[in-house]
Amino acid sequence: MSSDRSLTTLSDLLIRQLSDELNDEDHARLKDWLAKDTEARQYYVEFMALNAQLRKQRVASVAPETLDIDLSKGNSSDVPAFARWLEETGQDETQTSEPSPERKDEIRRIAEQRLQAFLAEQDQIRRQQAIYQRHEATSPLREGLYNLAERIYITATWTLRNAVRLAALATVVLVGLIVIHHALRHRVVATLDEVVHAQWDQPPTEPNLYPGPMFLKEGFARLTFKQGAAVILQAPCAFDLSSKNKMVLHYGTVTTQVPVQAHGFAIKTPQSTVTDFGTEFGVQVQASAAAEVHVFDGRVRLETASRARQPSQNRDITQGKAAVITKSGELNVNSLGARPNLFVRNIPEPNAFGIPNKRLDLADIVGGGSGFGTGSRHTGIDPVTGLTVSTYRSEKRTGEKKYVEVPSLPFVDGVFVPLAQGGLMPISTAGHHFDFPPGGGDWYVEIAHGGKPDPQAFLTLDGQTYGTTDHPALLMHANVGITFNLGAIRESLTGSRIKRFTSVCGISNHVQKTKTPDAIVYVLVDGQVRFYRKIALPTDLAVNIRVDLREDERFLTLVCMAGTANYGDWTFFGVPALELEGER
Amino acid sequence: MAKSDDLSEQQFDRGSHFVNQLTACQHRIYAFILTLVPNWSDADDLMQETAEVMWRKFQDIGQINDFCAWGKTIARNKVMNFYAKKKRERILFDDSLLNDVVEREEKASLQAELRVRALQKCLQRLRSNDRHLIQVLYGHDITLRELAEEVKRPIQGLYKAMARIHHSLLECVRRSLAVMEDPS
Repeated sequence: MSSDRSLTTLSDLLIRQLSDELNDEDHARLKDWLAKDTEARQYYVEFMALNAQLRKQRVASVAPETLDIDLSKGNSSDVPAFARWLEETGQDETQTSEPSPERKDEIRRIAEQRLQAFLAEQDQIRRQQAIYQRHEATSPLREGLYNLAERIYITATWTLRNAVRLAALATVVLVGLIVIHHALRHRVVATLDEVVHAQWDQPPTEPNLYPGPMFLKEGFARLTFKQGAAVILQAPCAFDLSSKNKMVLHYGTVTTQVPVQAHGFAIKTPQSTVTDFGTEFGVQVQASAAAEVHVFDGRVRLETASRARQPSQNRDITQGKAAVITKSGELNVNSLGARPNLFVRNIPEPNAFGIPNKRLDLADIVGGGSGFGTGSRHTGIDPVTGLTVSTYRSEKRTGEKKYVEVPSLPFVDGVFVPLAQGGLMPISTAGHHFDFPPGGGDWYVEIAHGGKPDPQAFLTLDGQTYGTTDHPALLMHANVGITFNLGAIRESLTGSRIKRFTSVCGISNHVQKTKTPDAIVYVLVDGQVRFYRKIALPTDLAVNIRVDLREDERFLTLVCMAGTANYGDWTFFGVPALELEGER
Repeated sequence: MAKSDDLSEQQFDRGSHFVNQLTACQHRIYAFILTLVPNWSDADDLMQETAEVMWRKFQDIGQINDFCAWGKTIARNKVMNFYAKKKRERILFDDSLLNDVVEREEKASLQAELRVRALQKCLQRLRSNDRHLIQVLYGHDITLRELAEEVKRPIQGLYKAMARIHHSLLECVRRSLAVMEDPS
């Protein structure tokens, strides 16, 4: 080796390697070169030492005599100048080794501005201490430094003698703080791309995002990390931006798409670390610290945290698999098909009905979703078997005398068909029963996330069409019942409280053109009646329901039964919602 | 002074002691990390994680005999964990080569201060336009790709320019070190 030309080629490969812009072929070439050529290895080591020094000059002090550009970060006034130079490539300039007095003044001014900005930021950090303390201590260095700065501030009220002595110490520490703080925190690690109904604890003031804690109270937001990973956040979501390719998820739901250049993107949760190998995946951390990782494409590595009697586990999760980490730290892997669609794959449209931490869509849950638009319309649940179906249909069928669970939908406790002769019937897995009147027995249509493309989806109440993105419908053609597991829903919501159930119900108004049907609607909570109404067309075009829910109430049961006229009972709940509010 | 005040002062001393030592060693630890993980973003992350672990352990241990060496030991553990998670084919060195590279880095590290001085002189000797490019990139936390987009120039040309400038700087540093070690 050792010709200038080949060393420049090696230098070129190393520059690309540092910037993560080396393709597989060149990477293999570099690897082979370094393996076979000791001189190349020596060059490599010195090359990296050189780059570390150059980097150090950026993050630490910059010797004035070596610089002739504006030092202030974010001021790109020298970039156009550089562009001009590129246009005039080859021209040399006479340099001066000593900056002019004006230049020295400018450098001094910039240094003072930076110090003022730093002190102002320290003040803001003190005010944000409460937010930091809510989170697990993920950055002991950062915390330690903040604590140190705070102690300096407090003790500055000591006697003058101590204050003077401490001021000298504080100066030393502050200089160190500026160096490290700048290196660790003043890096743009991500940008905020898009939001839908987003409410923040402290709204970002600019698209550039820096390391530190954030809390999305409501709605959705999409970020792109500097390294390239795109993340959709679903509220409530408490997280830390750690670096250009890493975040800490304290709780909440995120979906991530990781391009090639961001391989190795990592999400740390209280019980695990998920490292990507080029993929699309979702992570949900619940309030109890239980977590799920769903891999839609590619592969991720899941490393669980070690516990007292449970060593850390490493497990690769591949496409189509879902890993569930229980709150006790156990790791189970299922197929994705066995889990609900908890994760949005694209940021929802602004008119989507379900809004994280504001309103959960029960029709979406029946459609296999999270309640925030991830379910599939037109899918449903067979009230006799508890199995889900991809398309619902209208056909007379007979119920059985039992309450069945719906294993694929964890937010649905079970379904049933009220007995023809009436009487006591179980309505939850917790043993709640209800004494129904006669009139059940037969059923016609699956309990469904109603709407198009169903050609029979005549879902209208008082002139409003339902079964759409902004007006979903939970189709419950008589005689069927469904019980939602509020406990399981609360667990997944993390940080949100369920306030009440609201909906508009009725018999689709199109029926009255040919018939005058009637139906009975119940809303039961833990087996107790909270709403009952006999609905008849054409009198009751649309009936509003509002049922407040307490934190200790666990099961919400909706029932639609035929009335005296046993025909045309296209009963449904329009905009069926659990209204939410944040606990924070 | 009250006992609690003594305690506070101890905490100050410990904090400032740590900051001072880390500031002095940060460059050497970072160079070590960058040699084993030649990628800006990963090296930045590992430096941050290493500093966090150092601070945590420092609070328990207090006095460290060789702060830089201690920091590099922690950094090496961090790098090994990083390797374990990384795709094998994207790692530049196998185990035997890694030891060779670590030994070479150790030797280069012994000349760290000389290298810094040499680099400052070599930066002065660069053509002003070349120095300007180095300053823009390292002084403003932007990548070559971002710069290429900003000035609407092909990135390949910038890579070539950077490779040439780095090579010039490295050769200059080598020559300077040779003179410093053998002034005759």
